[in-house]
Amino acid sequence: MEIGGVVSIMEFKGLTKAYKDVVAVNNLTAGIEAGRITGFLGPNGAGKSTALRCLLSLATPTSGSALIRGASYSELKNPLKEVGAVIETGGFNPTLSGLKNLRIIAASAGIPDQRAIEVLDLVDLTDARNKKVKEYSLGMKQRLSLASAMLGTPEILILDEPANGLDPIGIAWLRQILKKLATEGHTILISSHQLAEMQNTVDDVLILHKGRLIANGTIAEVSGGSSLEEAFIRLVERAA
Amino acid sequence: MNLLKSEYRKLVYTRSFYLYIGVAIFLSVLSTISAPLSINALKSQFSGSGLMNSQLVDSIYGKATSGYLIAILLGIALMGNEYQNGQAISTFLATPKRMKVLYAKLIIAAGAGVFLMFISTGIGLIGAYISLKHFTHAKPDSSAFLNVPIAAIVSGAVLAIMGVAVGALIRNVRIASTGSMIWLGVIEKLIVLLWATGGKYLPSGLILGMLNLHITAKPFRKLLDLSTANYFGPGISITLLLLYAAIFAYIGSWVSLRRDIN
Repeated sequence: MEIGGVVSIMEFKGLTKAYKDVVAVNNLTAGIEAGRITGFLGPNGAGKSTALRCLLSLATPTSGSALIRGASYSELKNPLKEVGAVIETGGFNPTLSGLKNLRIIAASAGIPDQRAIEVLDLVDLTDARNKKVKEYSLGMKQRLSLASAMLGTPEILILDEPANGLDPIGIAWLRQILKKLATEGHTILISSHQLAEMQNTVDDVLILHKGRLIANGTIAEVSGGSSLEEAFIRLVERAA
Repeated sequence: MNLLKSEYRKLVYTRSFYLYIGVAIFLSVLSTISAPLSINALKSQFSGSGLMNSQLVDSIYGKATSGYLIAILLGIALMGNEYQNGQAISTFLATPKRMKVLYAKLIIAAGAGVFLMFISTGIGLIGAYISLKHFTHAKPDSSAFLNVPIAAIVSGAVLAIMGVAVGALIRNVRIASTGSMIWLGVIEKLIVLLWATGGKYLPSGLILGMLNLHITAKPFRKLLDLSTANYFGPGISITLLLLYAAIFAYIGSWVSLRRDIN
């Protein structure tokens, strides 16, 4: 989709997701540009994860839509080769090793087993590849999630709170790998509630508060010369 | 094909699969070894004359299918673990068309159920043969060696499919497994006791029906599930069991398609 010469590779079109009386995402409309790192920001409970789950067809929107290249995720021909996703809660069998978990995922998309070893190496988990996932630290699980997202060498990466549980070295590692992926031309949508950290990582931001989009633009446009945290507080106060 | 390979790996990579096979073998052997002793001890309760009655001898060989209880647990674990471990997220990210995932899971579950029953029933039959060697007059009907393997294969596939559906519905492996054991091991027995003719419609009654046994026990022995005179024959039993599998598979797919993955 192209709006004013800008290519949106992913878009939310009036997306609303409600659970009984709680509206988690309220009429979200926004586009994510190709080839950039977009921060999907907001406090815990803002609706970021719910919106991403709708984008990944893990949850069904109450109304509106969330599209990738103009289609819903469930309509993609080979989703793992187009989109890599890290979802907050993981998604691995804790009784199996990291390598076996990746081989299971790889098999479902017809990806050779060798690729599982390669991506484990990319995230520095080679030494722990035969260790059971239940013995992994939170940081190692996040790395494994990132490895699974990269299994199919996708152009698009959707990462839900990938910095959760990472120590400062892990966060620096994540920032480095995201920058590397962005320079390789990947489009990255990354959700986080750690605004200060995201300021150093992302090009564009979407800020969500209580399910509503309260800001959307480049980081310079949204922060207006101040820090992202200050800008966020200002935006929330204005929205209240 | 890719999806089948992935589901197959989920099955064979997990240790619990081998544990289930071990438990099924244990149940089958225990049943076939203990049955001649109990039937011989209770022979006055049966029409005929205990192990001189070939139908009773057939029922001992039929006990080799006792592992079917484990086949349903295997199906529950295959589906329920997806949700319990959060593995469903990576599964449905890799294959967002959930119906395809469910079909692959049903096929692998059915195959695993058949494999489990094949192994456990085979070893159970050997157990029956060895234990009946001590009763020289105990001779089975030749049809037992056709009916028992058929019952094992059909019950393994059907119960594992039912397990997948139950796992999709309940999502919690422990609750689903306990519930299924209570259903098959307690509630079905109570139904048989309170409403004898209803027993033949239940899964365990249909499995007995596939064995084509016509045993009449005195009424107070019905709790032991030994009175099978009015049960369906193999043909109707197989048809009804396959119908149950189809209904459960439909319910499982209907539920899986409509739920959000959390």
